[in-house]
Amino acid sequence: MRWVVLSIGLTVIAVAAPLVGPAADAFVLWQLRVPRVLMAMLVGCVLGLAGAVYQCLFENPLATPSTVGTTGGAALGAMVASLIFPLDTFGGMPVIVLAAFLGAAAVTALIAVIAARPRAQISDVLLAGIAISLGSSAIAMGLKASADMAATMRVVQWSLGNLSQVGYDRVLLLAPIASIAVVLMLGLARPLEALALGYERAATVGVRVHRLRALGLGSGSLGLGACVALCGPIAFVGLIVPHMARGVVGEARHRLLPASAMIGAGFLTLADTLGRHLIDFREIPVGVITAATGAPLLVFIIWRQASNR
Amino acid sequence: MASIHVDQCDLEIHGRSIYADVSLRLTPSQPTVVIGPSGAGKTSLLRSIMGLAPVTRGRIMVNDTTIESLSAADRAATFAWLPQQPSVLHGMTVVDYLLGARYRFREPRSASRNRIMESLALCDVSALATRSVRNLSGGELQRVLLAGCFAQESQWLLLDEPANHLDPGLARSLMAMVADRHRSGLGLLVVTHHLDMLGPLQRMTGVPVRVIGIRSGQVELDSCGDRDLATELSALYDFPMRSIMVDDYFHYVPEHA
Repeated sequence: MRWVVLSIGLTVIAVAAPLVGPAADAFVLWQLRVPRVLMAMLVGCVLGLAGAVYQCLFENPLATPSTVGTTGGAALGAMVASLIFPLDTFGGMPVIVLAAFLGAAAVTALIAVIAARPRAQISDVLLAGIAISLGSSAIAMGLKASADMAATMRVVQWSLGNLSQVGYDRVLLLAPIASIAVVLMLGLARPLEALALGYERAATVGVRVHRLRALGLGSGSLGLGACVALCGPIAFVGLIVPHMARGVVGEARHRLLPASAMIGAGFLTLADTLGRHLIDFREIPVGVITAATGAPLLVFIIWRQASNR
Repeated sequence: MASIHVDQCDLEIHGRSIYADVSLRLTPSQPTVVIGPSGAGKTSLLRSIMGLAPVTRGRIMVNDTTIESLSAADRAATFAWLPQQPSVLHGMTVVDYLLGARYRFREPRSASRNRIMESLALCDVSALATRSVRNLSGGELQRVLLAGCFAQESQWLLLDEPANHLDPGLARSLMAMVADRHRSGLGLLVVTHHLDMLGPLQRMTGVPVRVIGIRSGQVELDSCGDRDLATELSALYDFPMRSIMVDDYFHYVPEHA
């Protein structure tokens, strides 16, 4: 029960935060804060849960959407689409979401093929992820450089990962996609639990492992693509959140997955709230906050793995 | 009960022949031990029988069905597998780790837990239930994994080097647990280098064990374990072996070099 209390607590703090500020009039609350909190919760939920699912599928806490390149692929897809179709019209948004999903799915499929090679190790997967991330950010840089100033500024703002340009239209676009992805991923708790026996042993207890891998990575890419298209590549949430969840509920998959979803929602809302209040009159994009938390944690986990091997 | 028919099977991986022209009929009533030099193809044959390493020629039949056409759940109901090198890449508790063994049963988690606790008790490791699998010793892990196989309630138990990581006493008590399940109908197929298991396995199951010897991917020995196999074993391992009688059962030891 501890984790339920914790995640509800985080959420309450995050929702209540805007209410206690001095400028809490009705417009700010209902048109700016509430959709933004809803967005943060949806995105955090998807990113946290996708992180946990990736870690189970790749059997390593370092394998998350941002480290294996899924986020990079989604960002590249979204960026290409946003420079071809206008970013700020609603008509362009579903196209961008679709492009981000396709980018995420393409990269993830490639990574899954590498991971399924007979002698693949987790380091191969992570190195391929780095290569893909660097490659896609190089292409993205090129696209930015060749676009006009206004478009470049917009894309730079977006590529930091932020929740500042959020209205109900985006919440309504993300909500159904996120719900499908979350339901699909939560539904994998039982086979993922069996996957803890190892891929081959899992196949002998009745898990259809190829189907499981395709479903898990597919639904993760779907949710992630939508989040990245709407809010930019918010890094490291998939690494930090399952790590916190594991500390609270342990490794058991049927608790780890829902806990990652809930803590993700609370964590991203909190991180965004922090970003708005940390410096007076300036906003720090939420992606900067999560990266600043996640990068040291990544180093810490690598440190611990290197010491315990 | 499911009998297994390995029908003129070859396995090639990356153009290299692992085993060739293997034909065997296995019945659950007769415990079967597969022996042979390292790299002879024993483990690969075991994996093919379960459908993990599909044969490149011939077919594996379970009763009247090929292994490929069995559903994943039916395969799980037929074979439980104790791998030689288990995969433990996390710090789950023993009970959570073994929940997967009950995957084919559509039952509430509490029911799965109960069955797993019973299996842990059978293997004399109930005290480990809430320990992290990462912190188990080799011998503890081996018995926990065996409990997982029992919890799967399959018709066959496929053991790959079950005595690895076990001291002689533990190895013997593990064989006793397995033999006990054999008496209640569990089929046994064991791959091992431990020839000293043959005698005790016959004594504990009360049935003559079938000994299958594989060398360079060929079946070179298929015999009942109740006679002296010293000559055959010497040829199989390409090393002189001597038989000694202990408690009316043959044991085999390498000759002095």
